[in-house]
Amino acid sequence: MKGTSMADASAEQRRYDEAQALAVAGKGPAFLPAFSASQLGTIGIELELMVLDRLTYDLLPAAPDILRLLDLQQKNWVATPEITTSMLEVATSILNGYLPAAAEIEEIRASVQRAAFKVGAAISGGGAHPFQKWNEQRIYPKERYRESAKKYGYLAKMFTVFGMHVHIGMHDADEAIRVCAWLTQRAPLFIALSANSPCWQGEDSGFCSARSNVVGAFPMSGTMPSHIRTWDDFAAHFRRLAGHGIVNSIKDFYWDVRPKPEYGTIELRVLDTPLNPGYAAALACYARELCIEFAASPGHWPRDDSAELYAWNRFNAAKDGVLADWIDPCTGVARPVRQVVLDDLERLAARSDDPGFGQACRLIEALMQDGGQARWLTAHMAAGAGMNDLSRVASEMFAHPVTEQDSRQTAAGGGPA
Amino acid sequence: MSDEVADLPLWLLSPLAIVGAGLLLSQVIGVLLKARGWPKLYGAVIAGLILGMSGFALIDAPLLMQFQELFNAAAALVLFEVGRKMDLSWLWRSGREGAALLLGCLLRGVGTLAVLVACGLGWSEAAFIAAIMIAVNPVVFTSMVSDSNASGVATYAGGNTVGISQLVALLALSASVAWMRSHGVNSELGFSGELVRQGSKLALGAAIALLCYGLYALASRISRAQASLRPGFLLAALMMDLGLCSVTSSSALLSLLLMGVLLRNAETRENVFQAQVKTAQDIGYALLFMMSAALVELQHLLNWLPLLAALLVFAVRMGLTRAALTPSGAWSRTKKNAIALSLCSLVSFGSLVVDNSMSGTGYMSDIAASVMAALLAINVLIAPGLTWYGLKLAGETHEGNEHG
Repeated sequence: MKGTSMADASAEQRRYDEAQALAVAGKGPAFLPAFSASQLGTIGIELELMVLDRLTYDLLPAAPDILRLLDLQQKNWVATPEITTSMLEVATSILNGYLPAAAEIEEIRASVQRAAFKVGAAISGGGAHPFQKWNEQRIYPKERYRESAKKYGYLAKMFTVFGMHVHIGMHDADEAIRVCAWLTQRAPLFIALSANSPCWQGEDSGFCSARSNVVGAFPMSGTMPSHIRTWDDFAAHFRRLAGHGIVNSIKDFYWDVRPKPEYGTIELRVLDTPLNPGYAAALACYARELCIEFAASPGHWPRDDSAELYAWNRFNAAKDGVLADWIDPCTGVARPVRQVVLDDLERLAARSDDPGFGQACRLIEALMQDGGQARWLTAHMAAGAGMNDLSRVASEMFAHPVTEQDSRQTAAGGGPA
Repeated sequence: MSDEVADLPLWLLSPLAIVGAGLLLSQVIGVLLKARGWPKLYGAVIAGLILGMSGFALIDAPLLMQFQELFNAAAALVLFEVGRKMDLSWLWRSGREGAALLLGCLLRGVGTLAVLVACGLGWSEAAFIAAIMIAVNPVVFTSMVSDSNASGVATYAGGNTVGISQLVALLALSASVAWMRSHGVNSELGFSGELVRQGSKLALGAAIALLCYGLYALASRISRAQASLRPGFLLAALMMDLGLCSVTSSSALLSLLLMGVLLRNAETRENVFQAQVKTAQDIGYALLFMMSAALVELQHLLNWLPLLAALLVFAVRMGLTRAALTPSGAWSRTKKNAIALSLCSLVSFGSLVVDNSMSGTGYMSDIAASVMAALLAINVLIAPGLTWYGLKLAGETHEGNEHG
């Protein structure tokens, strides 16, 4: 009897997965899975990485070759293709705090670095390649990406940008929507902290995160509408858009923070991939602690969740990075991002039960030194480096693990050499 | 172009006009071929066949001599690019991958030697041809990479191999030439004396490269030139290098190759800038056109015995290049096949040794010379196509610009 029910459950799960896969590929009817609750505060980190030529440090279409080597390796994490063949996506397993996250991220960094070197490529973090030309990118030979290329035309190739996504486990669907709204308010802080894409298509963009502006071209970008207050509201919103043929699956929402029902998480999607993955674990744990804090105040919603205020905070964060001001939606007071983050870290550290959160805080503080990652790069430009050199410098920052000692040197010396 | 000169139209008396017309014809045929899905570079091959020794004989070796300096400069630029593609750090630290590429070079030489000896050639002239057969033709490879806009891991491995193969071939050829000269009718020196003489040409070429690179580095340091300004410094250094090699009869190939290697590997921090020879494709057209016009005589392919030997050498080279890649785990089977195909081209004696005082045929018997001629004809006719197919097989070409 038990065997039969397990078989039934397994068949049901298979049908469910197939429906989801067909919807994502645009081949089947629109499908929104039920929110599968998970343990509050579990995290998963996705990083999109650049694959570079070791001579020119231009993008190199070698992701399939690197993936072939990574597939041969026993691992808990996964490596997958992205929309163009110069992009590589890696995702951690489900983790529960800074120390395991940092350890797994370091394993990923070393493995990807090794595999890339073996085939003659280099890897780099960073939100956007400084001088790649969108029209030279090649769509990954996979049906889903070809469909995207057909659907979005040149935008698909323009989307050769490299982001970091953080999944935070939520124990309840309605709470996921509420925490989603709270985390959205603070998303600009993460844009500022991670901003490291000052150049775009061979020019200094004047922004710390040029990548952040690229996402806005997609029709379903932005934030979760403020009228959504429960999971049922979200499901109704999905059904309405699906009825118009606008969305087919959750993946069609390019929101800065979105629920991810099949994982039972909310997903923070605004970060540039850090120049060294070591910072990713620290940033993810900052987001994790914020979500745990939000979850501890049930029933509370952001006081001002207007799209205009969010857009202004987002713009400033992308433009000026950690030197930007952030208008607190609760108080309406503008404060420096750096101070807001330091206050957050101090408050969160006092209540955190994560034994490694202190280390994470120190790495985040290091990330804010000397104007943040974007200015570490632009300092090289000011010293006479060309775009190729900038790309090389970013690649070298990826090549070694980040340690607390590095962070202190960073703080003292104006960014890693 | 001899007795009937007076009857020819005036424009045919201008070598420049003939070469220009040839290049125009190359482009026209190339574009027509591309529209039918064929590699555009074959336009240069076909135009060369039409206007060269196999066709109207408007372009022959004496005419090409008038452009020797120009072609040497063009070939040198290609070799400099080949040098820049040599990633010494990767070749050394990758271990099995770098070793596989080097092994391929050695096997190509040994395999050619075995085939030619089996075909009845003497050891010394077989070794002489085998040394030449180690090298992969930089013009064919870089032109086809540029023409197909190829990039990826197979292209990267191929680029490294072209550079290594030139170095190994040069060393082997020096020893071979020294042996043949010391055992020739008019030999002046013993083997060791000849070896020193050949070696000194290489050493002088290397010294000139070091000198010119040093001057480049000094000039860019003193002026604190930003990255975007350094290519101008580089061009001046390359011209000095080429000129010094020319007057000292030292190995220009090695010297330019080393300039590229130094720029790539000596000071990465200073020298990572876009100094790509953007005109590589056009240089490739010109050089391939000349190769086709002057080196291919279709009647060489009518002599079946040398043709058979040449085809065998050609096939064995490809097979051994592929075999050498087998132990490496970095490339998939398809990529390995693609790398072996894209490295099938070969060079002539003249393109390895930029020294007009020496002729390769002077070291060879009639049968060896006819095998070599057949090899060069096969190379021009088949190698560009196989190289193109290899890059395509690797999935690393980017000839279209569709969004899907």
